[in-house]
Amino acid sequence: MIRVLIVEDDPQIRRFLRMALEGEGCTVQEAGRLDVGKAAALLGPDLVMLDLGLPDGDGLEFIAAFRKRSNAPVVVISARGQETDKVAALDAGADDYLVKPFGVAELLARVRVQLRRQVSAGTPADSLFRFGEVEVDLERRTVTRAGQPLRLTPIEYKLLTCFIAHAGRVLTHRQILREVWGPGHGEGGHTLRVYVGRLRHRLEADPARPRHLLTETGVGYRMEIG
Amino acid sequence: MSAVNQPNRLSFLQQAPCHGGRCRVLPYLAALLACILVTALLWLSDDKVAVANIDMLYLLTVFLLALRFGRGPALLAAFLSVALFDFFFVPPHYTFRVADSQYLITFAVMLAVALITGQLAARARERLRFVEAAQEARLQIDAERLRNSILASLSHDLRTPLTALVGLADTLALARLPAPHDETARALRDQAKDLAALVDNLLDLARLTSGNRPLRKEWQLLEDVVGTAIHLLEPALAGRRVEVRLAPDLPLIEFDAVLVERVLGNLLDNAVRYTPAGSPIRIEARRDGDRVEVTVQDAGPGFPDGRPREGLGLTICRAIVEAHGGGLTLANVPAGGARAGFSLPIGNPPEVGEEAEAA
Repeated sequence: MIRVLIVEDDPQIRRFLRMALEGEGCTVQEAGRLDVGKAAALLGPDLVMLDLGLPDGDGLEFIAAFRKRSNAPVVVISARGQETDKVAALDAGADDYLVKPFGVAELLARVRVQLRRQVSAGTPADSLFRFGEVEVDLERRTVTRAGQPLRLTPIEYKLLTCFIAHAGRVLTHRQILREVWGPGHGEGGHTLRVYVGRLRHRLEADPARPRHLLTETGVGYRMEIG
Repeated sequence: MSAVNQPNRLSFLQQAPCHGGRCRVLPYLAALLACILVTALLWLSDDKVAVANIDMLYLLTVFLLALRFGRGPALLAAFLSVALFDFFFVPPHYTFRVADSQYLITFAVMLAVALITGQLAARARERLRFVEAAQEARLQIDAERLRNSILASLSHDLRTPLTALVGLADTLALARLPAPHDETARALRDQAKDLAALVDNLLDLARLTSGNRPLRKEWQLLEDVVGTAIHLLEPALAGRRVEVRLAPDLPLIEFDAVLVERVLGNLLDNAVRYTPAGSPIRIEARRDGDRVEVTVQDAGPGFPDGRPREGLGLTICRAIVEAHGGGLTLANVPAGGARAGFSLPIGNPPEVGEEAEAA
């Protein structure tokens, strides 16, 4: 049984989340305040839905405390136009976000991705990773597209493996720059954008309408899996 | 020649005494006129005012001028007053000569008092103006803070119930209710979604026009926002063919990705809304001199009478594009359909080098 903790102050939004998640067979715990949410988090939920604007404090505080104990996914609920808040939440350790308002299908899709990620994280890593026509062999460091070998530059390959390692998670520009170019990199966001653009042209069937390397506008990128 | 001289004469009047964009000649003229006026009135009163009181009236004039116009005009008035007083009212009249040497003391005291009161009044006036300016600035800051907090709480207070409404209506729509309630539930959900989109647009427009939403400009790939805008509109597009034609030589363009994504989303939404289901949409972008032109073209009936009715969606598009130094154009295509386009200036995009391929 999957236990989901909802930390959200609006009772009607909580009700909608509860109905949708229980329909998926989850057990739901609700918290309308940050302090209640922190206490409930001690019970070790499998996933947390977190509203950032709580009456008794900032949701960021919750993420920081929660990440010290648990790797369970945290999905943030935020409004449009609050990109800086989303970035801060992701940098603090959140995994994904939902923009208000959202429907049942969108909610469940995100939740399923996070739970699947959690399951695969527990199993020994498969060295073969497939998406679309692309196959990446992480052990032999080879990439093929439709069976044809693809020659990526070192940075392109590193970028791709970074996306694969965090597939399903939203990565902020800063997180990717640090992981691929290293700490103390002097690269700006535009360098990252250009490299992701190049990678898309090599891997995606239609780079203007990518299916796998998705842009999260104003926030970062996400590799879509499944 | 006169055509050249005329502006010169004018510029003499404007230039020299002008400072900080505000002309300073008028206060001096006012000081001159005030002194002449007082002199004329006293002179017309025909010796009904005692000489000692004439003196006082001049001092009062200087004081008032200082209070109203500041130091310079008061200084002019002080000297003028002494001169006029001497010329018109101190015997012998109509000459600067003075018969009684006692008047020299009067002049000296008069000048000193005029200068000192002028100085004091001017200083008081400056202080007053400083306080007023400070108060005005504080009022402005308070008003801005108020507007920001109203916008923030409005956006929270509107979005929270709308989120609940959309979510609950969607839950209901998925509940397989018996007809006709199933359709009612779907309509409820769709209307709630439209309302939420409207509120988003309204809040964005309010933020933009109040200068409350600073542009977060970064060097971007246009392809990125075209992709995300289409992705966001996917449910509304309902499997329509969207043709994307981006010129291969597009440079990096500096813009606020969230806002330009909004522009593209609104234009796509319009194209979907006013064209028959299934009709294709084309997004094109090409370089045109120092700008990039982006167009969204549909194959529908076009804008009625060739004149687009600018709703909230297009209004916010215009505001966003203009904030980026670009322009929005709306037109019907001769072959049929509407075309909405916007341009963005290119500027000086940074170079991102190529990298050697892996061995």
